[in-house]
Amino acid sequence: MKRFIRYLITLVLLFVSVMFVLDTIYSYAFQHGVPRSKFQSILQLENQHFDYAFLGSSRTESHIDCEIITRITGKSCVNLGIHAGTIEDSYVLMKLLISNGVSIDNAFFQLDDNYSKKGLSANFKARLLTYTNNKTVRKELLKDPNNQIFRMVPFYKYLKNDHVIGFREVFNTLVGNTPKTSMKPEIRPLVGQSLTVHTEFPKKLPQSNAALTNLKQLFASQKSKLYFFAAPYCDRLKNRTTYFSSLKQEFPGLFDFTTLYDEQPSFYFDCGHLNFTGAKDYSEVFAFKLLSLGSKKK
Amino acid sequence: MLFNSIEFLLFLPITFIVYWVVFKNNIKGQNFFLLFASYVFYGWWDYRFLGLIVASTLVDFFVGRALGNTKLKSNRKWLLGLSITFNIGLLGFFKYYNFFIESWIEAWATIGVAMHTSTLQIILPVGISFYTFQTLSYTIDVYRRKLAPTNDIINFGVYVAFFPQLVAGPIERATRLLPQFSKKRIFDEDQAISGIHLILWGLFKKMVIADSCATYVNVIFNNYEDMNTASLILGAVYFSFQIYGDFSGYSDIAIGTARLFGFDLMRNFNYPYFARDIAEFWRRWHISLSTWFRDYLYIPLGGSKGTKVNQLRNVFIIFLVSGFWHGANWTFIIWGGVHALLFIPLLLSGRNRKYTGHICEGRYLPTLRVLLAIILTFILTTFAWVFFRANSVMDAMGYFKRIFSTFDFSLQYLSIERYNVEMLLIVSSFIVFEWFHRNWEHPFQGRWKWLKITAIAVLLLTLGVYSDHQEFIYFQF
Repeated sequence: MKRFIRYLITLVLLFVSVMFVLDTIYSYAFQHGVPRSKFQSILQLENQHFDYAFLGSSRTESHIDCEIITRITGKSCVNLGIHAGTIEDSYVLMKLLISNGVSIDNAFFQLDDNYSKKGLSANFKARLLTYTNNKTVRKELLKDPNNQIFRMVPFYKYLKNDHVIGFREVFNTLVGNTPKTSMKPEIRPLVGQSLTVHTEFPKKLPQSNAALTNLKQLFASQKSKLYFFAAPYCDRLKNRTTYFSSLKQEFPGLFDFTTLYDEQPSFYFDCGHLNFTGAKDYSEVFAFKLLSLGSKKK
Repeated sequence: MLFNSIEFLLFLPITFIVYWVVFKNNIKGQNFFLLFASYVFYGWWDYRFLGLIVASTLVDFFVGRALGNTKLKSNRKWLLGLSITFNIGLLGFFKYYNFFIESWIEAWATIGVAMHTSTLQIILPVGISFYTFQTLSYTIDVYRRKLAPTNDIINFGVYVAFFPQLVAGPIERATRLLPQFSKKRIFDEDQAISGIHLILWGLFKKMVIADSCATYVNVIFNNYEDMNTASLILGAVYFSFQIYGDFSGYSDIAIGTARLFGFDLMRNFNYPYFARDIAEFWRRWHISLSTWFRDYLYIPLGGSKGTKVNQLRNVFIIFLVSGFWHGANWTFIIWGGVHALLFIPLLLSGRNRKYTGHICEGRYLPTLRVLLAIILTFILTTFAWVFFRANSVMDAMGYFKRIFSTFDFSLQYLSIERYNVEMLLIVSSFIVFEWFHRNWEHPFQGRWKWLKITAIAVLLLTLGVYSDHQEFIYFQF
């Protein structure tokens, strides 16, 4: 039995050693390699100032063309929307950007069915885990005690999220393969036209969202203004009117663009997203809204 | 619980420690504990089906005892019939009830007659195809007087429910496994270490080869209408390796786990894709099932004796039943039928036992003739696998039709954000690695043992599928 126990211990030590080495290689690759995700690109922003920043999910990422915003308003702009992003994602992202020396005068946060979503999105969390040596990241992750295991067991985070930060992703990062679509903090245009419905709004608005409260406090501490807006949705979406009526009651200053393109179905990629043509028009509308916002302040 | 799960990672060492430390030198205690652990293991899937396995155990235990106490032939036949009826009935109800009802309805619908019979919401108990066959082998062997019936219900219970091989085999024979539960087990370090090696190799085959191939197979088979010829051919090849990695990986883990407890299970796979003809393939693939059918169905039917017509009949029965055993779908029956058609020419020409020894013994590389024979056999088995994997016969026919109608061999970017050829490097490397270890049970032997273990550890951690892991294919049987 002693020889077997010694053999087992040797095997376990071998596996643990391999996991340590792989964890070091993977983490180095993700932190220093070619950015292959929007998250990595955004984290490369350092010591910059933006007049306007747009936060949210794909309905920000694929809708806001900062070139148009800048052309019309003359102000600097950055698109920080991340596909499938939650409010918590945006909050953590902003914390990291602030620690990188990024400042924002006016932030615009896309608010819709994400109000009922809690926690970090799976893909964002996976990307975040590659930065566990960052103090801010560690602090945010460890708010959830279930995440302790990612700190304690080397390489475990890469095993658990191998579909996002697995071998293929590391390999492509190390050899410098850039992804097919741009991962820069700019618009990610959608091409196509349909009114396919992929979601449904709940009948009732949730009571509150702690991440949103944190986001408000964060911007307040930076003396930045935070505005909320609701992106266009096609009129086929169930409970659209009731949901956004409730949301506007909760957030009276909400810029409501939900019904903007009810008469222009050709602007939609699907019921919840605009295609590039729609996004360009929407960006112009938004830019003029920002101008009127600026003139009201005066 | 799955072998590649956190639960099993905790279950196994606890069971091991209790078995060898708490019940040291206590055979009865060890067997009782193994029975308890096996029921926990099985009940983890669904505790409601524990009753079935207990029922099957009790029926065959008492049938065995009664067979031992009865000399009258008619009574013995009656008792055997009872066991067969109960076990096949159990299998038939849970596995095939809805298939028969739906096929009956469809058959009448083809001539315009609408039937109003409803199917039941029946859940298939995991492992039922395996443990019913295992208990049947006991009663049949007792009936044939090849084995004395056991009076120890705990031993028999463990034989039926032994957790390493309970849910997906190997299907053990009572003559081989049951006596092992009556013998004193002394911890054998070499046996235990070889068990660990088999577990490691099995995990590699399952998590790296099978689960990685599954990612491509699922998207190709589920969207075959959008695939080009290259993708469809690759899909079939990848499935060949998915099912091999999955099933042989499971068997290796089962055999390795059994060795940790001092038991020796039969080998279930012997490098089947290096077979030089279909007959040899079936001597290397799922050996426990093919030998079960040979001994309990083929030989009683007359086997290869008798007229050519009888021989052909027996071959068809065996392969069709074998196909049907795999699942309640016409695709499995057709898969079996295809293999029957491929086997028959060898049988009729007397060449079905041409290849029984080692492949290219004493040679480093195969001769051109052997290589061509291996490739041809692989192509034929892969062709048959398309029926096995397809959701329906129509889908399988559609799959083949698309292969021969597009003739587009270009690179195709799949919806899983990968190119169709990406898995080829891993599969090819795996084939070469297995070739150079084809005479060994597992590759962790010899001079470079620790280098290979380290390499497999790296590959298991980097290429293994963890976030999207697949259940073992044979659990559905």
